[in-house]
Amino acid sequence: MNHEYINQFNLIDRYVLGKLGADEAQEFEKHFIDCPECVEQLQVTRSFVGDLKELAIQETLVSSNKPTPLPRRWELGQLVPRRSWAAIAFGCLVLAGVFGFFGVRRLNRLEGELRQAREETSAINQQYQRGLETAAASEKEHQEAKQQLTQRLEELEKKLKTEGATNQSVRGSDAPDVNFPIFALVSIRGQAPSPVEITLSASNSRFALSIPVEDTRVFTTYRVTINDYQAKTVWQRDGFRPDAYHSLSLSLKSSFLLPGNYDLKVEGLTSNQWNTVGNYPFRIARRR
Amino acid sequence: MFKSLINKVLPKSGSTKVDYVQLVNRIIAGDTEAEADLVKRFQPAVLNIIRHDTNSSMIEDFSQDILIIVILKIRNGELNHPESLGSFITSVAKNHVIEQMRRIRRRPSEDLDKADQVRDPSPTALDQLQKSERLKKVRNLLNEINPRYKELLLRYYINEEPKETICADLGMTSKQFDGVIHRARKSYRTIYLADERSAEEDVDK
Repeated sequence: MNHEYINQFNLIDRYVLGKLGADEAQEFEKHFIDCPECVEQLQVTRSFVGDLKELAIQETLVSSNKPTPLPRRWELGQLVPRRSWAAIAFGCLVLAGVFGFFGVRRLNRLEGELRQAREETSAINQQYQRGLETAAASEKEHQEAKQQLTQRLEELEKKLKTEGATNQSVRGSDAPDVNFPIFALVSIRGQAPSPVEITLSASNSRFALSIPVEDTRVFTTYRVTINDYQAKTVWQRDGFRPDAYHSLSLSLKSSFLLPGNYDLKVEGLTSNQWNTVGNYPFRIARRR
Repeated sequence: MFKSLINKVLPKSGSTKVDYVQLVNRIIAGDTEAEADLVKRFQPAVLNIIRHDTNSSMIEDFSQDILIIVILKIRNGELNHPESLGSFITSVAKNHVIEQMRRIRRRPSEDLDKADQVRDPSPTALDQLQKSERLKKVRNLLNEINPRYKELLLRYYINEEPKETICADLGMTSKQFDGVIHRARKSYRTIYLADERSAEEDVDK
């Protein structure tokens, strides 16, 4: 047995506390009987242990003599040593700082998102308002156009009635016709539009065609030609002059044209030459 | 440096055995100084052995008895191997303690009869004062150290808890534990030796 062994296995403490086995104790005694250094260590340790126990007894007696304090739920000093308070406080500060930093950052991010959402909402609202305004304007235009069209149609009807009474070349009965349909034709411009559908019922004895003249050239007179789907002329007449709305009006008997596709051509006369003003396709259909 | 290291690792058997042989021869020759030397050298160790085996209040008496027995045996030539003086004293000490404790258990009334012959083990006023001073220093020592280390010392020396349990609870390694014990004992040794010196000075006075 050497001192390295004795120190490594705390033999002195264990011997003093009576925790060495009999054999090991005997071996240790054989060593320290010849070792003043170990004997001194034993004496110091034994005295240390004795003094510690004495202090523990004194502390117990003192605390038992003290008046019993009012029970508290807890005392911080008992739970946590005072020396650690500074470290714990510092740790709490650091933690608070970290949480605060992340909290502020999140808050800023949320504020940014809120701001962006508000801006987007405002933009959408503005867009909606503009849409409403546009729709209102379109509605207004539509109503105005409708009103104008209605007005034109009324005037045309009046005109047709008066012309029908005085014009001898108009075929059909001398008795005035009222409430016959008027169809507005559309000229071909660039891309050919679909022909204007003219549906005639059995009760309609006559119908009228309103032909807008959009050519700005000035002609002395106009000629109207109706060709069938085979480009065969079924009717032609000149001497027309546009009305105040730059339109020509044509009144026909319902039985005059068979169902099918037709092309109405308008020509203007200048210097004894007929110039095409516009082509107006239409289709006749009969409702039974 | 190396010599002290060797002395720490290897027992001082060589020089000790020579000393023992010389000592025994001197005692056999009737040298009373040699007897005093023997007592001075071996009494602390004998006390430790006795205290390990018993906590009787008669430890001091036992130690004196033991050393007297050893001296008598040496004078009578009963020590055949002087170089084994240490082992001889150890075995005498253990046997004596066992015998005395057996006797005390068997006839406790006999001890009461001999009460007047038993030295009063209670400390003197001076002893009490010295002890009180020492305890004050130990209390200050404990208050100055890390509370974790204080807890370690109290749990180890007073509660006598195992080292492994304390290390696990306090999150310490075995080396850290030994370091705390070593430093605490070292600090206490200063107090203890100062106290011993003070006691010797008072005795001399």
